[in-house]
Amino acid sequence: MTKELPEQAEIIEQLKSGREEALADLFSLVRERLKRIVDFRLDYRLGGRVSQSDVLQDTYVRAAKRIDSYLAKPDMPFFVWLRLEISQRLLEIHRFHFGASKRDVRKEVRVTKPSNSAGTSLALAAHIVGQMTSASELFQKAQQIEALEKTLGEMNELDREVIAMRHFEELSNVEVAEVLKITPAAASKRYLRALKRLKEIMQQHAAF
Amino acid sequence: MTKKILKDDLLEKIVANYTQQIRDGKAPAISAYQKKYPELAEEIDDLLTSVAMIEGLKVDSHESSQTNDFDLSELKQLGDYLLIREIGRGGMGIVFEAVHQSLGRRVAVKVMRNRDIDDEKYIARFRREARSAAKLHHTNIVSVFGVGEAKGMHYYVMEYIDGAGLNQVVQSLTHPLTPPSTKLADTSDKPGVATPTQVDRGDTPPSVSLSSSLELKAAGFPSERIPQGKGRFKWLAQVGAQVADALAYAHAQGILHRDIKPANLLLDQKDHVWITDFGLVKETEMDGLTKTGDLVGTPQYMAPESFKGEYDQRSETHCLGLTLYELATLQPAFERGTTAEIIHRVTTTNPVAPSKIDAQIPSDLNTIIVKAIARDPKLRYASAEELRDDLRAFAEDRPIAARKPSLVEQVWRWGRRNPLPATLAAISALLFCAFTAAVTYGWLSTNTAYTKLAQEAKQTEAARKQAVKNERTAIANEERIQVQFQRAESNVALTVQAFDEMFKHIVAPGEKTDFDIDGFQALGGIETAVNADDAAFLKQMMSFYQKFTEQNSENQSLLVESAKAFRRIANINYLIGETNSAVEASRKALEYYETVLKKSPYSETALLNVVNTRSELAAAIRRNGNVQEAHIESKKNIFAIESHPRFNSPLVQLALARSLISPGSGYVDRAALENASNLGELSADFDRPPPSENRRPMRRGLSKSLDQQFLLDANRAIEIGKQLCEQDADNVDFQMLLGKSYSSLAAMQLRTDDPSAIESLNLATEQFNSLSQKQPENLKYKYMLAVTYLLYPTEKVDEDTKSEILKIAAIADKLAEQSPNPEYKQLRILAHGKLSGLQLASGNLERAIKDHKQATVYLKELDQQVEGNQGFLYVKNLLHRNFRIIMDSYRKLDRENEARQFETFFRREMEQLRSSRAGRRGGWRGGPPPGRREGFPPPRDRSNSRPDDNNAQE
Repeated sequence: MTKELPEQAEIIEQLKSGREEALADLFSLVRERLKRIVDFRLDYRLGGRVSQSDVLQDTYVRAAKRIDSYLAKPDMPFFVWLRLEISQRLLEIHRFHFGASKRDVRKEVRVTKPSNSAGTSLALAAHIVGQMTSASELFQKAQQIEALEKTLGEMNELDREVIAMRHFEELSNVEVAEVLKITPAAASKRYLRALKRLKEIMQQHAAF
Repeated sequence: MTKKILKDDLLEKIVANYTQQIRDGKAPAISAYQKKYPELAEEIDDLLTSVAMIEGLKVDSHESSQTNDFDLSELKQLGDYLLIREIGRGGMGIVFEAVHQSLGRRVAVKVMRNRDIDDEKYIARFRREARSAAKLHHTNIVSVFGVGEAKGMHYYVMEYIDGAGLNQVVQSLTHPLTPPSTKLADTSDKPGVATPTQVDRGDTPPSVSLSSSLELKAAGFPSERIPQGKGRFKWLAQVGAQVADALAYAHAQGILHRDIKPANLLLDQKDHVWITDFGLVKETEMDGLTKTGDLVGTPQYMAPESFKGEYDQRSETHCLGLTLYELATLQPAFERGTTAEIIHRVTTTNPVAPSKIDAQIPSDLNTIIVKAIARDPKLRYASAEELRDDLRAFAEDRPIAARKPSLVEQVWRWGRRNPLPATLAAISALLFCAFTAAVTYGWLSTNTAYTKLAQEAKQTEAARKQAVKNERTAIANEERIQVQFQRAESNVALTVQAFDEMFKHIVAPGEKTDFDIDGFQALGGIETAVNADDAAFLKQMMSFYQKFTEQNSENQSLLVESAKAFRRIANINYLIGETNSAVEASRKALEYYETVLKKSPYSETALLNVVNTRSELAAAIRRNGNVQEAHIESKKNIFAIESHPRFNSPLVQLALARSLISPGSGYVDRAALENASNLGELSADFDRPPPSENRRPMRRGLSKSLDQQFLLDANRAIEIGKQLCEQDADNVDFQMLLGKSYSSLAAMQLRTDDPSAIESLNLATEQFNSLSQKQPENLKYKYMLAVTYLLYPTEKVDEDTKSEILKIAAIADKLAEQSPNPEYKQLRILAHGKLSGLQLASGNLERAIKDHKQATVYLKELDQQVEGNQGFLYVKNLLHRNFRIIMDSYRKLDRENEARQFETFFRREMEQLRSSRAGRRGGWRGGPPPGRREGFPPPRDRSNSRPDDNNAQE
């Protein structure tokens, strides 16, 4: 699967020595993971107009500009920092297309968008699921996702976010902890609690 | 405490491990974890179930390697079938050429993948579908012989066809240099190598390939077998017709194929096409078998509605359309990509028209394909038969039934369904057009114009943003419109032309000929067929034209376009009631057209432009009440035509005749209306004398000599009409002219109380009758017929005509039902009003009341639609008269209660009319004759009165 990033200290070392080139190399190592984040966080309504690779490229340019300030104070892991840069870029994009009323995407778990229409779910399904084996499966999943939306909608925001990061962005517990600025133990606790809660609500809905 | 932390730590590890396993494509059992950590069993179950559910929704991109492990290379025998060689493989199984030993015949055997046969329900269905498919016997359908089971494998036996999939045909045509390899050894040894037959899969990984087809491995296809050039299009139409015929047959048996695509259509050595894989279980219903979901069609070749779980025979013709598209353009209608991307494209975009890809593709074929693949099933061929018939017609050089929907019609059709985003999208599309023009052509790109347009584009963008609710549709459609416009409007002349098309579409939908503003549209005072939405749209168009003239009116090479722009400004102003502006713009247009005519004095088009524009000018002037001046303009027209070298050309003659009757035809509607409302004589036996004001408004301002002139002109027009009809008996425009000429004559005769009016009316009726029988779908002829019926004076009708007049209401009802034009609705009111009058005249009070009530209700409805158009004065006059007569008759019969009830009803309805307010403001009683337009409320007034009007509507 995707190649692993080196240790944080090693990363900082590389960045400090080679600068731009090093950044490009490191970026390409995590490109797939970043793409997954974009895939999840990019509003599906922009699907036709903004491509994932554009966002990634923009993010890279942005990161290259700001790498110095990161190196001056590397207070978070490199990957988490990149993720933050993506979030910022997506925020700009969403603001541009939807105006300032759009909430901060970093705080928004997209699957909880209020619309319950099948169309929304279908579009969500298309984006979240990426490559789907068949249309009827997609259709069925759209319904499941709709149910998931409902379920997630009943959870508190932070729980929702934790699940989204762990499963849709595929962040590790440590990374989630960094993003949320809490200890890994606390992040893990939240995550486990959120999963349990999810199961409870699911049972109530009995939709699965 | 420590214990708790340790426990959480462990659970975190279990969850992480389980998650990773799933992402790696494994399906670990939850129970395995539970066994390992029995003390955590319950929590493990809670946590992992949640994880499984979430990951299950996105697992697919990780899963990749399930289908390649299906290795049957050792398999030599299945039951009675001796397997000879593998000839293809798809998502569902592997196809072998085989010999049915006991019968000694060659067959194709499709061995299903093992994973499919776990489910008993699935097996049951597999057999059931195969059985029903085995009943299909058609020369273009690969016969299904049956299903069987051996060595734990389920298989499907069908006729062996020695041929190649149409996907291979496309491949060979796009890459004709690929040597046709007939040897199998090379590729069959390397299962991982993509064979040429996999072309339709694109870059989707094997597990995602949904192919259930007989994909012939490495068979290649000699491209020289396909005719070159134009011949190829006929060839493909014949191929398509065969497939459509087979589908029609299957549909008649109630069997759908569900996966029509090039790879499932085999072309044998004799150019005979075979549909294969009929009867293979394809999942489309949500019936619990969806775990085998990869059996459905290939997204690239699926109809948009399939993704909503809907599928019928129109979906199937859509799929065939996509195949034909690919055969014609040699590229798939929808680009390859990930499944999600394809689904997005299929459900939100329209493919580029084939003729845009290859200009050689004949227009009729293009039309057929575009119709077959319309995104909305309602716009497609209703059945495979219809598609087949058109394909055959095309192949045999006969005219096809599908009419090509114009670009504008498509946009418009969509707009009717989605009014709000359509307006926004249309506005941006308009601006976009102007914008393209600005960018493309230096002469427009002065800074000011550019900036102005850019600003407006921004405003539009802002407006669009506000419509967040409709945003998605708006964006998709906007893009679609923009793409279409972008292609169509590659230069400014074309832009103007496109606007023109759109304009005509609003003003005269469905008319092929140049629209004719002179007509009977003014019936009852509503001179426009446009409703408020159309008017708003027209105004937007006008701003384009105005910009255009601002920028280009000095440009000599764009004289014609500028003239046209002015002409359209005039038309639009006329239609929205801004008569003075219409006159002004018409004069401007005329000036330009006359310059053009001077430059090319022999040009018929130049002449016709001058004449038609002047006719419109005359109409506007006449509406302003200046009949004399209008008459002078018509005379100028007649003079221009008579002194032109092309005087004898039929179109010029047609224009001449139109100019001749235009003064008279302006009165036809008035006469009709007068007739319908003039019931004075009928009420003679009632006590109270009839109200007499407005009895003869038409008389005012007209001299006897002018009347005489009109009569002569109408007669001359009739002569021209007769000649034209003699020259070309099938030309509907000529027949229409003749009919109108008779109507005009009749109207003039009625004005002078000439008894031969009835005869003229009969002749007109005859024309319109024959026209509407010839083209029953064209509502315009029926409308003309009904208007002519209205012209018959109520008091003079004989019994035969009376029964005809009774039909008006029926015609009008039908027209208004088919197309809710204000004109038609108005006709309906008048018809019922007139009927009511007739009933009163023959003493049938109850039925008169019924019709009267009907007319009142219709009037209120129309009033809401056109938002207080003052032109209802006539209609209201009619209803008031009838009302009084009805009241009188009630009182006479001492039915006071009923009279009071009726009065309450009528007054309430009339009070709710918007126009009653406008009417009071303008005041028709004692004011100008209702026919004059001074009192026509400017649009601003209308919008002012809107807020409280909304209440009335609710």
